[in-house]
Amino acid sequence: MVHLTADEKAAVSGLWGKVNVDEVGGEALGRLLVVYPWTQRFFTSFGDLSNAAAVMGNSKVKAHGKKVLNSFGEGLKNLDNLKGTFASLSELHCDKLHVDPENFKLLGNVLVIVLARHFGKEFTPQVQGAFQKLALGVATALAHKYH
Amino acid sequence: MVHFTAEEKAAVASLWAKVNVEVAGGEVLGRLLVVYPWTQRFFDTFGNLSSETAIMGNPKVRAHGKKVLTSFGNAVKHMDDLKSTYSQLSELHCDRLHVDPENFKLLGNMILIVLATQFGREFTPQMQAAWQKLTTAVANALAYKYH
Repeated sequence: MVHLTADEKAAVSGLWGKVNVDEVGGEALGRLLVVYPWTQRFFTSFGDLSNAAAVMGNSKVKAHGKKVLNSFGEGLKNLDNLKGTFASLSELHCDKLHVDPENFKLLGNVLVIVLARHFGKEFTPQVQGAFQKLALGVATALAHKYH
Repeated sequence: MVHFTAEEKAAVASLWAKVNVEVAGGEVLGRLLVVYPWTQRFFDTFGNLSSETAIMGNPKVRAHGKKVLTSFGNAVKHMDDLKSTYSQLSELHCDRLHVDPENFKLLGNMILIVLATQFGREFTPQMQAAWQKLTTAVANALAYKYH
């Protein structure tokens, strides 16, 4: 369970309300694939990932990024029960997708950078701190059912 | 040795030329202390670090942040030779300062986030990838002399 103070919850929700989840999702997943190229191994059915432009413009990347970030948004609504919220996704990522849980932290980092890029000065140290806590909480919850 | 392509070197150098090292340095170190509060343990002579405002406004944090980021500028000039560039600083951080090298990766993350807030659109996926490679390589170089 992640403990966010009332201020941190407000900061995160306040920012999330302004996030274009479709766009930011695609950007975050795209950047993960560009910055950490080994992650492309999980997306071999996505078509052309041969360079940064191809990755960022790839419609499957955008669609899947949107799906991933919407799921992240669910986490935000259930801060007191992240493990329960992500239980079946955790099993899926372990049993079916075989994703090393270290990659969840990488995606969290990329998400923080995308938010920083979009929001500039508004992404204050406090907001950053709250988001990083949340991202780590989600990453931990996604790893929880691994065996 | 980390291999940077010509494009990666050019991308890093072009962004670096626009960085205000004093402002960005203070921002980077300040955010480290806010987001990862345990890092404050290395700076107990710095005075008031009791809140985000105190940290971000602390003149010692700013001065030291500037020093740290200026040193990073050295990395930009010696991307092919990071281990020897950071050899003495590595010994210092191990033998005198007793800093867990994991913290170098955290600082690297802060640099990326601050660059993202400052450069917005210009902080493209390729730019992020090149800078991620550099900060990881600097972190490794700083850890190299640990024993």
